Amino acid sequence: MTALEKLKTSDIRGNPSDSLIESIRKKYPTEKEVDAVFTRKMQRRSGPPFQQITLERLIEGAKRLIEANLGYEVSITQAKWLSGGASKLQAVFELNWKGFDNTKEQTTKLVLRTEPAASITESSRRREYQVLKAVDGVIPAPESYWLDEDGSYLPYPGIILGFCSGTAKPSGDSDKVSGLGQNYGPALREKLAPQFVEQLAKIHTMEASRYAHLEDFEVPQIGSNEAVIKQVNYVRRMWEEDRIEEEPVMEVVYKWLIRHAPPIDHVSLVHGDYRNGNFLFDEDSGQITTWLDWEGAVLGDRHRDLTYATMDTFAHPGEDGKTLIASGMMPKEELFAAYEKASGLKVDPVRLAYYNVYNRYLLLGLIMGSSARASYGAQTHQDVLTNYLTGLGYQNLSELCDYLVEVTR
Amino acid sequence: MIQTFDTQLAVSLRALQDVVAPALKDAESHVVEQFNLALATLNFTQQRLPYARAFHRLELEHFIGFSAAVRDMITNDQPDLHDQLAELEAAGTEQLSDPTADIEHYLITSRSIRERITESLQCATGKPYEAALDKLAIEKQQAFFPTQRAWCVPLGLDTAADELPSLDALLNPSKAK
Repeated sequence: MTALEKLKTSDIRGNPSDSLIESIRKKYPTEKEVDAVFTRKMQRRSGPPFQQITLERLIEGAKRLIEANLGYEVSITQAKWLSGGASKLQAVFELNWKGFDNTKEQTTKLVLRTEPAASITESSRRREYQVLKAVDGVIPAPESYWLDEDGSYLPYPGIILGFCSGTAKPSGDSDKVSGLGQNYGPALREKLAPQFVEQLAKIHTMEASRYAHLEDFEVPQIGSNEAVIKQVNYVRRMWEEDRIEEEPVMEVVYKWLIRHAPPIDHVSLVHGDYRNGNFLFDEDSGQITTWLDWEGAVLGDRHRDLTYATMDTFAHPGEDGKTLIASGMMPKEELFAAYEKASGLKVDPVRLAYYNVYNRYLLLGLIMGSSARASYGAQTHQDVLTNYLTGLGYQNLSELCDYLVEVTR
Repeated sequence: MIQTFDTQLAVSLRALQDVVAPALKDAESHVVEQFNLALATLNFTQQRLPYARAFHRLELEHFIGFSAAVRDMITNDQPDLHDQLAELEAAGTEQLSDPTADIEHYLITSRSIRERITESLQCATGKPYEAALDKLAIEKQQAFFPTQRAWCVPLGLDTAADELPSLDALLNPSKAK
């Protein structure tokens, strides 16, 4: 056996045993649907590597899914791959159909999102479908049409969404991977920033009656930190299941997050990936046309989105070369003040400090855990991207340590 | 003669950059993105391949030192982990002096040390020395992150790359002086 083969054999997570899967599940309890998705990921890991799927195969599956739901024949035209996003396999197409009630001939442009065997974020298509139903009419977001939750029609579980027009990147600064550090420029920023804040405030203050759509989400109890601990365990499970190599700092951070988990003071729908690069906009009018990537949404604490949107990783220096522009919108202190005004909710510095640590921990779980694993196991259509993103790890680890030392001083 | 890896990578990169890239100018954006990322990965490999052995040796040395510091704090309370770490340190030290050892041998040992150190941090929960052990872990790793970040610089993702020491200086401190 070569040394390289020995190294690969030493990876117990590459072909996980049932007992390893069960021990991680027991040790780090999460929400029920998250547990189901993560367990499924582990059980199929030892399966074949990702095989390129043809567009024809994907569209044929989408057609069967739609017909099964509608009960009549449809046709699909203008299908093509859709770029963007680090985790899902996406295609756009036109559906020629007669509506849900089979009466009026019409053509609707739709997007198919399906997940490969592994991805940078392992998530539930059921939850994505439900959350898009919940925010319909609250802020701009894709309309969810049909769901194939277990891959009965598509090669992998998938969801069909309404197509949303707009661009994620301004024409003057279009080379950023996944929108990291996206600079919209002063003129666009002036139009986008108020919407960015107001729309965040809207989802955080969405009326609780809309939670009825969120059947696979657990609703946190006000005054309890149980839901927060489950969110910490979400990252811990990802780390335990996906990492290629251990990082001792992650253990220290985990212990700190469990000990300091603050009780929920107001239940909000948390987007989970609210930042530049994750919304589309009309470059002429400066209007946000849709918010994307809802797969990490949870019911929880608003400070999680607030700190995520203001992470340095997503910021860029302003025109003065010094002031960091959070998510390409505004300096973080201005963003917090504008948010308090728009939402009527307080921004609590203690919770900000906590979620600053949490989000860095989450990001590291994603890039040094799941992202590294996905490319290592040749499990996605974006291995070259997920592999590249692991290069962000050590700067983030370094910042996380600095930040933890600062908040514990 | 047998061409060096550097030549193999250089000719491949030149063909991709000079011939393939211009032909892709009208390709779909996800094709162009994957092409550019593949180029960036090959460029990274070309730049870091000559340093790989020295880097992974330094990494193993770091974890041997980290392990010894952990052992000093857990001697009485975690005797099994103490002994496992001692064995791994001995194995790592032997590999460092073995001219036939491969990079992957260094990696297997440093990864085992990482796992045992983390286990030790878990076992310390609630113990009087927990805070000191956690602090040690943060300090030891913080001291080594600049080296790991310097290694990743060719990927072009570190926003403070200019503030990092050069990999040459980190791997060959005596020459840098």
